[in-house]
Amino acid sequence: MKLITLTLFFIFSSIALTHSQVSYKADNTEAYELYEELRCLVCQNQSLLDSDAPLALDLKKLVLDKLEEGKSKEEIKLFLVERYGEFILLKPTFTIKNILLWVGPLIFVIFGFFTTFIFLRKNPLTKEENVNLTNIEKERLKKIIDRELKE
Amino acid sequence: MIIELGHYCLALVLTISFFQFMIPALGVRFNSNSLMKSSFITAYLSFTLILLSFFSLVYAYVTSDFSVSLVAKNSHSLKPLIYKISGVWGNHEGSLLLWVLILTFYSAAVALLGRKLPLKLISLVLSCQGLIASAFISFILFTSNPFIRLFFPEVEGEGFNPILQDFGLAIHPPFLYLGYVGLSVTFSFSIAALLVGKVDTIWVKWVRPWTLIAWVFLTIGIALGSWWAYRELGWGGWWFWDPVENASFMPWLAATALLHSSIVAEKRDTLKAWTILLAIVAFSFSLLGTFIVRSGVLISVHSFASDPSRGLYILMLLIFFTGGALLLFAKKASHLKSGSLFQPLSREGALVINNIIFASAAATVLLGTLYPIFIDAINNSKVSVGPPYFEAVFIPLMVPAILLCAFSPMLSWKRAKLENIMERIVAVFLCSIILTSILVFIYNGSASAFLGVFLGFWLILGTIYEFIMKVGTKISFKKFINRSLNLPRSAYGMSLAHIGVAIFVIGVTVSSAWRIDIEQPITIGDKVIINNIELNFLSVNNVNGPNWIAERGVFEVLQKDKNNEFLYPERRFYPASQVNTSEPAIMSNYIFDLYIVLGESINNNKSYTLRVYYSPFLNWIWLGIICMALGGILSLTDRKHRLGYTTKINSANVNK
Repeated sequence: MKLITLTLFFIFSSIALTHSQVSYKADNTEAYELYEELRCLVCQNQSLLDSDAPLALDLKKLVLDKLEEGKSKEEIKLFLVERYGEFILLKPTFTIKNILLWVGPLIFVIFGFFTTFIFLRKNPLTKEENVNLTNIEKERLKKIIDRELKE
Repeated sequence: MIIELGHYCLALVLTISFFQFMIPALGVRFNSNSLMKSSFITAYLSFTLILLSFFSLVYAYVTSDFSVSLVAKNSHSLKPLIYKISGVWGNHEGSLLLWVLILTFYSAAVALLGRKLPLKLISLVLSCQGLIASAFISFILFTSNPFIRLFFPEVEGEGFNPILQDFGLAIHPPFLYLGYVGLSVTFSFSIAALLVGKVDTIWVKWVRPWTLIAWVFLTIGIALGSWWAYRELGWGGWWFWDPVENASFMPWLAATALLHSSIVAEKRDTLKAWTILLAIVAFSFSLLGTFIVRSGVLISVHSFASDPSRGLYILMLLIFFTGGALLLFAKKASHLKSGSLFQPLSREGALVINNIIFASAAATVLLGTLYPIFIDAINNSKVSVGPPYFEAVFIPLMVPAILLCAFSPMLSWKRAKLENIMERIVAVFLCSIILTSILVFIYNGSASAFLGVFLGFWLILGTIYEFIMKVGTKISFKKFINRSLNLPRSAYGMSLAHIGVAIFVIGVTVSSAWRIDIEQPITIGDKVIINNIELNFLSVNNVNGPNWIAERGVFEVLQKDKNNEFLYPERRFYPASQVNTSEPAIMSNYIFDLYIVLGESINNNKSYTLRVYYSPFLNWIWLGIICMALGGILSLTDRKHRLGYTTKINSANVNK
């Protein structure tokens, strides 16, 4: 318990120090989010946010201008894709073309659970249990096993 | 002369490791003990000779022998000694030699610790190690020979990529390779088990500690690389989901799954076929990582010397080892008997879900990493798969894993009853929700911040609760201490590692959710205020380093009620390689990291672009990883997990 209180104390006190200034980021949130999702085309593998390359600076300015014009994030992305191709998007579009990419992880998980299900169906625990026991005996046995497993 | 000796040793080991593969295999075929026993000698001999070969290359670097092509290309006489040494593995050829050195080191260690194992098993393991070694040594000798001399020696070396001259990076490859290659041991053990056709206690007792050791090294190795990226790349980020990073992350995910499934295999004698499959997959990911890094098929910030023919060779190795192992598995796995059975709701069940999640995560990273190549091949269009994708798919995968992690150690083996632990789960859940709500409400956090902080609390509280319950409640304090001291170290190891995960999650969440970035031009004498911290730009000095010259900015950091501190971000120029780099300056403590980068100068050196990143709790990321690694080491020191496990019965078997 002491440890928990101590940890909490640290967390409270330290977040207290970090609190006051979240506002800066809030002003440019949209621009920031866009920078993070766009690729610096001339760099090895960096987003606009992480790049100082001249082209990246130009693109950042373009994004800012478009935002000021009142364009939405989606419109800006669409504009950039038309100009530079989908390569500029670090997050591939959620379309039929990229279906494999987006559904893949789900398929992996489902496949995993399915295989496990089959395995458990083939090897049910009940196979081990003796069917000749009476219900009262089963109850007693289960209690003993549970007690042991608990320890 | 020393170089030629090293070259010769390497060539000699090619033959020796081929013998290490062939002779024991024949020994098993014809049931000859003496043939099988030869594998020990060849394993020791290979390691010794590769060590000599490696040192001869180190010697060439240290003495700046520019008649060796590799040294002339990658080194410079003015480089500090530590980077001359680390330069040995700072390039394709040398790093492969390090790879092979570590491989033979592991073989020798397995031979030494496995003297008392059943001879057939151990000689098959060493035979497989020998096959891997001969494949890689022939790769080095025929495509990437580090010992080639220049006909006309250079007077001076071409230098070494400056951003690689960093202490963290100097020790990053050895750790990473100790992890990657450590997985070859579990791989070879799995192949041997498949060939022998049975998976017994000894096998299981061996696989777990060897997985653990590889996992610990891999964890440290990845963290070192990430720490380097944080301090050197100058964007305040520490993980970029770059193909090369992913290449090291996939084996880590697979090894994490293997670590957990080997617990089930050891304690409950079941899931053995799955454990074998994971061991094969984990090492295949290591090979795949090697392929991705060296073939240059993917665009990466970590561009390594790459050459298509080398890529092709490694691809063939990958197909050979992975394909071969999987074929063997498909043929033999059905003969492996599965031991104890279990109900879905049990510790085994929870560990299976852990395995499903981690295996899916590894597959997902693989999918995202290779997707651009795949699409390019299919319809010739270019797609980028970057951090936003990985974050979008990875977080939903990991959330259930962490939810599960807090309470699955409370479940009993075989058949668990939810009502037995329901009370605890609810208690931990309520505590974490309340704490998180208060904190996130006060500090104005987003929904994702809430989720991350909640998961951190949930895991820490759950782990501590579980630990206390394990020791026992309703006993005197003294007895509590006594009992907890008697707990096996692996229990401590697990709790510490899980708490490490929690600290890591909190660090990642808080440092990104409450991060503040500032980018603005600044002139000497100006000041910037970021989160109540005042930054005064005092001056710019010129400094000379051992192999660079730099402009060094001087910033005074003023915090309320604290002494002022100074930060010195640099803009370095390396004449040898004609490269400019930015050296960020970082003020780091357990509450926050203040990270400043001095950018390009504007208006004739009067003003500069300044970037400042304020990331709270960033150090918790490293702290969390350190806890994970320490947890692994603690478990390794458990008497049950000795690397050279044998039982009396087994040694008696050998003597018969």
